[in-house]
Amino acid sequence: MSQVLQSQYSGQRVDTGSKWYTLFQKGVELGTWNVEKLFDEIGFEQDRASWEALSQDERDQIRYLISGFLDGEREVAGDAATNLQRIMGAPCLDENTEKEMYMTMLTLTEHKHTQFLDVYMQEVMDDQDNYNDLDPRRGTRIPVVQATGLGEVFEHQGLLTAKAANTLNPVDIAKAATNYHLNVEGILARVGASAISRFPERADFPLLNYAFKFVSTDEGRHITHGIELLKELIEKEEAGNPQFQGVKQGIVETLYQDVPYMADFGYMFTDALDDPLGLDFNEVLMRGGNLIDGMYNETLGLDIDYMEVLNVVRDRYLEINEWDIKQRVHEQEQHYQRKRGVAADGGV
Amino acid sequence: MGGSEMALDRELRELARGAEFTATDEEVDRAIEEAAEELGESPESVRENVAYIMDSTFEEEGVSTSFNEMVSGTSLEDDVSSTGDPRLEALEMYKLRQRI
Ligand SMILES: [Fe+2]
Ligand SMILES: [Fe+2]
Repeated sequence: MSQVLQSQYSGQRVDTGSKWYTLFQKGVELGTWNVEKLFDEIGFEQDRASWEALSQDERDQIRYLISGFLDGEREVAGDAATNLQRIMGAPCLDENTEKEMYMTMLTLTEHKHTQFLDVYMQEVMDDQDNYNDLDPRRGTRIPVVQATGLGEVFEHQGLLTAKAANTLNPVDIAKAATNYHLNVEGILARVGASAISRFPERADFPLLNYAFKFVSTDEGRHITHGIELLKELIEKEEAGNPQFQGVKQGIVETLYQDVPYMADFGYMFTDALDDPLGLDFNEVLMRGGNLIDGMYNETLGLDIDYMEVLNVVRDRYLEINEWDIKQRVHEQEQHYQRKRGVAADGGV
Repeated sequence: MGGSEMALDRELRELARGAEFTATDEEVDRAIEEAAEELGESPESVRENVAYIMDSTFEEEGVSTSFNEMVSGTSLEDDVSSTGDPRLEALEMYKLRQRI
């Protein structure tokens, strides 16, 4: 891929033939949509009117779905800016310069996704889920994320990306990229987006819909990056490079580690609330299976039995279905409110 | 369009496990021409961006399951507020992006 330039300074030149250069450039062209201008262009009115017209249960269902996104976007933005940016300079990877350039675009778009959600939840929804003032870096998550296993996936992301940034080891990088780009962006974000597409007519949220189509377009490039990065690592493993042995196994392991908790996301915006909008847990599950097959098997050439994966998910479903989610969320909210009280009293 | 030397593919491909094409090729061509006129860009450049929004991968034949779930993924078929065709939807997004 990176051809040309025999000069000893070639590492400092930008290779405009690199795939990552293309991703960067298309990120500049398509990914710099302006969140504030989108608010002005579409306006909040219709979304507010639709929100007001829904029942409390329907609103809770949308709140849980969007909350999962808010926490996820915040988390990916933070890990991209720090850990992933560092990983892009790893000596075991090619095209470091272009990868580093691209990562700045990925980070920028993730912060815009967070910006959109933070403002939107405040302007349109009841804004009752955002406890970011308590600082997520000290363990504050959205109540429903904390109360389910979804937080485990994000926790895992923090651990895997930090480890890879520290060791710059190919197998660690493969695991981090699998959790981040395949499981979080490639599966969680896409099944969540597909649920937004399935909102019934009475849940008409044009601003949310347009914003998420921009988010979805950005995520398309992010997933492309993840796939290309993993392909590079797999190719080097298959070429027999000793340092890269274990890459494919690491990818598969990471899927199996995350997948039961990923199911919690689907559960929390469907059956946890008796699904008044008809978003359908089984539909979510089948969609997830399809996406796993598409990325892991078709594109990366691995051999995942995704029906077996779905069985892991179904077992988890039976477990979580016994929980009283509303009660757990309520307890989490109370916990945060006590913390807020302490902060207001001058505590730290 | 800027400097990427990688010749980007302008073919608008239906993805095997993505959203189905519902408009005719003529309708899409006309919509692209009109958008180009409106934006003051060449139809080729608009088409290239529509293709890229639908599929940003480097796969020769594209991927079967779209990476852009809400625009060219099967989700679009459930989206009652959309144009219903992934090419027209990507074009809508491109036009909106150029405005904001
Ligand atoms: Fe994002
Ligand atoms: Fe992303």
